[in-house]
Amino acid sequence: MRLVLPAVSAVLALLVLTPLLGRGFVLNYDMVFAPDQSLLPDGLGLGSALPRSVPADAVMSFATALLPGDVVQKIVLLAALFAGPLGAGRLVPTNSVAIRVVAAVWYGWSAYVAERLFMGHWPYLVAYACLPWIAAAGLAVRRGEPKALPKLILACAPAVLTPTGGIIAAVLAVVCSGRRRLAVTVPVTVLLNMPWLLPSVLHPGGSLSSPDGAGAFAARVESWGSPVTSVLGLGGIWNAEVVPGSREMPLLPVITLLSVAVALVGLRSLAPRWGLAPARSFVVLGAIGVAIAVFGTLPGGGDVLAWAVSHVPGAGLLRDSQKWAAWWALPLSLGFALGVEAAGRYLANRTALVALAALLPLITMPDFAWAGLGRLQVVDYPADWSAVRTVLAADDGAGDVLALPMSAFRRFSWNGDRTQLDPAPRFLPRTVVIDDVVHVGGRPVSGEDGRVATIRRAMARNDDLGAFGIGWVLVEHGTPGSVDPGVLRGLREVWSGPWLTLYRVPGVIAPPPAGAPRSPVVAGDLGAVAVVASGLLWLLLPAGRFSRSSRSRTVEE
Amino acid sequence: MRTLIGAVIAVVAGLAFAGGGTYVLVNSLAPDKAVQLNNAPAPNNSNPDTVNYGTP
Repeated sequence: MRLVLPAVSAVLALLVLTPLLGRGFVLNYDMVFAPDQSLLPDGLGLGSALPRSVPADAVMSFATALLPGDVVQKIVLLAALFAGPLGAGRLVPTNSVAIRVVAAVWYGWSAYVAERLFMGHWPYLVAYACLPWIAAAGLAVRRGEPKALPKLILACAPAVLTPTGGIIAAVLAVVCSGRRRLAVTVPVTVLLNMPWLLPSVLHPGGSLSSPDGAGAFAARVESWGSPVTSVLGLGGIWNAEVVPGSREMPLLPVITLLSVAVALVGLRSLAPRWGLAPARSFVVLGAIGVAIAVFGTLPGGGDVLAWAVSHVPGAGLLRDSQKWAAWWALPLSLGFALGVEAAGRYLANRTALVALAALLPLITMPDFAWAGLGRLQVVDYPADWSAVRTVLAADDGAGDVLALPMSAFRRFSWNGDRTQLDPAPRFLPRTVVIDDVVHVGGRPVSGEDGRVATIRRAMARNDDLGAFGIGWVLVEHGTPGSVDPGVLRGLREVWSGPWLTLYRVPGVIAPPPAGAPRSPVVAGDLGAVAVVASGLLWLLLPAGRFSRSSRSRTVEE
Repeated sequence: MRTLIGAVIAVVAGLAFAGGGTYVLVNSLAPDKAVQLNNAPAPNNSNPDTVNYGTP
């Protein structure tokens, strides 16, 4: 019976990812992996852009040094989709394997996972998968179990790859560990988040964002319900293009409200099993997640959010607020499973009830299966990309790369015309400057990178790009957008192919603008690595052998 | 034995009912091109100069 839960979790992951397990890359929206990602200043948050993908990019550069990038991508996705349901199933305080399976399926086959996968937000999926393990370790810390703290550290470690994941993990860890352990859990979780926290705080341009995005990235209504029903059902991501068709099913809001009702009944049995304080904080955090997620859609909420984003440093993290519904996923899944367990006591045919409860997520969202029924596919980068990488790696000259046309996102026919983030910054071995203005529903949302804005103005005047630290210009073909011939005038063509053309900027190349100061950022990175390494060693080494209880036991013996 | 058969029938019937219902409902949501797309706005990413990040 011990293998049932891992088997179910594996089946869930394979039901989605099997078509993607061949060699090649899955490139959609924000998901970019490259065969061999270089370690660049941007990956550590030392560049001119805000550290949105820090330390994920640095970690990927180390991972792709050991394994090919596409293999790393598949391992990450499989691990995320497997570990989430497995952890949720293990977390349920019950003796019934069937009830654990119900929780696992509800956690693993959720709209949150589907929409974030289709959006390419793999670090969020990793963080989501860590949450049940964090909750379990946090509860163990609260109970004062041996080696609970290193388990909590290791459970949080994969989640802190990005700012959002780091915050979601840290808050859950602190909440589950309880007030009495704050003196330990707060410093540890802050240290773990240092790799992105320090570059954000020390970023020369500040960390304010454009207020335009507050409304554009608000939680969205699915079917005929409201944003609240969408988020309560773990859906409601801002981008309609990544929402599975089944989320528009008219019955969905009804099913959502019924499942929430069952979950609330089930959650009442959590307190006797976990204790009142942890159960209450766990549920309250889920409710806070829902409240943050829908806040921007409430009357006046959008205005408050827009003000906060443009005046409070770091408040840009509240954009795309549906991501905070991750905190609600565990209470919903565990509560629903416990609710089914409670209902089973009053029914003669418990098997049918549990089977239906376990299969309900698959029935109501069948189009998550098989990579979203073909929505995601594996592709290879054209040979041009490797050729340009080789040229850039062989040149010792100074200068960053400017990617044109000016657009953060691309659509190439070699990737089925999917919207994808420009792969150049992760594929090429030099810092690549890309436009940070994104178009949402056809309307531009400004970025935060002051260097990009300066370069855009310089191009409009046909100024020398070398004065802005640009040593190369990469023109990507076969994607929407145009390139002003005046910008390319005077540049020397170095390499050209059907998909890419690389130009050298002649003359003196100025150094790039300074990012966050290097020493404190690297110290923060080393601090986080030290915490993770300490957690690992604490867990593996026979620590505790010299503790008081062990000593007294030895003396008694 | 009777309970087991009853459970199997209930599960299969439930799945068939829910699955069939979902299929019908999802299918019925597909817009009737002849009627509903006459005055529809331009599709996503139809602008040749920009790539849309998404549609709210």
